[in-house]
Amino acid sequence: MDIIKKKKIINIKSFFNISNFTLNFGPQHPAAHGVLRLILLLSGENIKTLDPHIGLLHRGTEKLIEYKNFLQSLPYFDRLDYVSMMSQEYAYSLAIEEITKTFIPLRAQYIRIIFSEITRILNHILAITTHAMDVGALTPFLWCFEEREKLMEFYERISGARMHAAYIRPGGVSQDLSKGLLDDIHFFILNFYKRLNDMEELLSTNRIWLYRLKNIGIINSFEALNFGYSGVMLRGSNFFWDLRIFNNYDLYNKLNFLIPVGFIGDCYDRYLIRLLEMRESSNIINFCINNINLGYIKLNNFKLINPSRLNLKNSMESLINHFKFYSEGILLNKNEIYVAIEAPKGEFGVYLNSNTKINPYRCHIKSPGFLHLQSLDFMSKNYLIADVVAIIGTQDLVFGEIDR
Amino acid sequence: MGKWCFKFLMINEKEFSFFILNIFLIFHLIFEKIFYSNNYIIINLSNNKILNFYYYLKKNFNFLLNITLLDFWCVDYIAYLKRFELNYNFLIYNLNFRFFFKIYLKELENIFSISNIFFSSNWLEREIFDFFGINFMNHFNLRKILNDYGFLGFPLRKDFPLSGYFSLKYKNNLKKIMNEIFSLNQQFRKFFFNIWVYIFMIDTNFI
Repeated sequence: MDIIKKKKIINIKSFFNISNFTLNFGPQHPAAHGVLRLILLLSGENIKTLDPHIGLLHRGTEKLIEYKNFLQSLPYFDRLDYVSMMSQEYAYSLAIEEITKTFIPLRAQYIRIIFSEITRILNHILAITTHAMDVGALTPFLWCFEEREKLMEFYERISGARMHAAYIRPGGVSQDLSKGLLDDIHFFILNFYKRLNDMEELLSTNRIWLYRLKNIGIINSFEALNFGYSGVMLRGSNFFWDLRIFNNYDLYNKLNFLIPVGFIGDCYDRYLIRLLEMRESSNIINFCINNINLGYIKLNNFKLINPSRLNLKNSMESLINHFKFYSEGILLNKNEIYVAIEAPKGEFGVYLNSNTKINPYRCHIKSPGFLHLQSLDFMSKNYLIADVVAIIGTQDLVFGEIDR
Repeated sequence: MGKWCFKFLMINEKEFSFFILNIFLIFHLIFEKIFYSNNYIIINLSNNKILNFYYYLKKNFNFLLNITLLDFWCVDYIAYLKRFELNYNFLIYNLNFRFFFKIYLKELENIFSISNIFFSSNWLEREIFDFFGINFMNHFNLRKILNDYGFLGFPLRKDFPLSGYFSLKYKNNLKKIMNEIFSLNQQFRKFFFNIWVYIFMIDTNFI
């Protein structure tokens, strides 16, 4: 396996009046992972500077949230990072629970963790297989998207929607699990290890994959911290930081799971970390399925939660609570909070300011992809265009959360 | 997992309080209000010439602590004179501790950019300039980032309407895309059912 050497550029430019070539790596491009417009300044095929133009998917989420209730703004979070939906709902629900200082019941925490790890598997499958597709390996995409379909079927069974399930709500989750769902999830996990082995067999020791990914996009931990990296990108550069351990939200302190950390900080390390994280997520789901208890899935406080339909039809107070909940919405104290969770892409943070008590006065969304894309210029200096495609894939960019 | 963890847990209370005391002694003149909690601290800075402070934060503790600027956002309190509240979110990895700094700015006030010290603030400042119109001095590349190419106005300010001022339409007779003054057939309705909170807000002059 050869190490890629950086070519020495002979300085004949001033003699022949040669200038660098500007190329538009346009918003419609199969390797640009959504709507990304890159203006590349090339010298031959090496990149001198790279200027990303984003904002082509900007939907004004933060402004729209200011005009809605606390409950009505929950589905906006699904649509931010549209490949890992429930992790953003989780962050927003945690923010509201922090403001109201409530603790949700144990069963709801288990369900949230199961689905948040299912979301992590969903995201990493898409990240690795679309990265492979950009680099040229077309088969993992076809094989592993069947697994995504099975996972989206689980989403549909609990919430009714395959992708944007407004399921994790402030105060717990919206509905209880149906019968037999945990058995099916367990069966899926048992087979999932074999599918991962199939994909690894295709990619991990493949000569072409190694050649395209080894020593590309190297970033050491000092620079990674300076650029504000988080999640897999930071762990790939030999820096151990995982918000599931250090921020300690919900039940993660009771779980035992390993966290892979890379050494060099190149694209291959991050690919391996994502594969290993999928295996660890499967272990976490197994543990939660074995230890989940029966119980409530929402808080008992009807000022923050809608009452169940049984209570609604039998009790006058529940009827009033239901009416006020769906017309006025919940009423929070005047407070501001910043909550960050370990989304599959990195640290996803929500800043919620409830100055007027009925709607979010300001809701700022910190997306990990924004900071990762910012440093694309730095990561891809003097690499080839084909390497830029590999680097964009390894940064796991989804423009829903970058452009908001 | 335990092997990687111990580097962080070795910092004890004494070193941590020494660190906080160190910062307070030198910069007590520009700290206005401090709110200290379990995991984070919110500090209001009174001086918006903050460059020296951030330089100190980064360079003095660089050998000992890893500090990042993770996020940077702005809140628009339209009722006040100093309407823009800039919030910086720093994370110290070794101590697992977050700093939130708040700086209050008037409408046309400028502030220094910290993109030379913390590289992650490059695009974050561009985003705030794009949405709120706050100018950052010494930023090498301050231009619009998320809005459209010919967009005028600062959307996230509270006096900018939700629908905006212009709409982009394709004119079939002229065969090109043009800006048109925004008009809706139906009036914009804000559903607002909580009357008692509204009355309270009028009393305290807040809307």
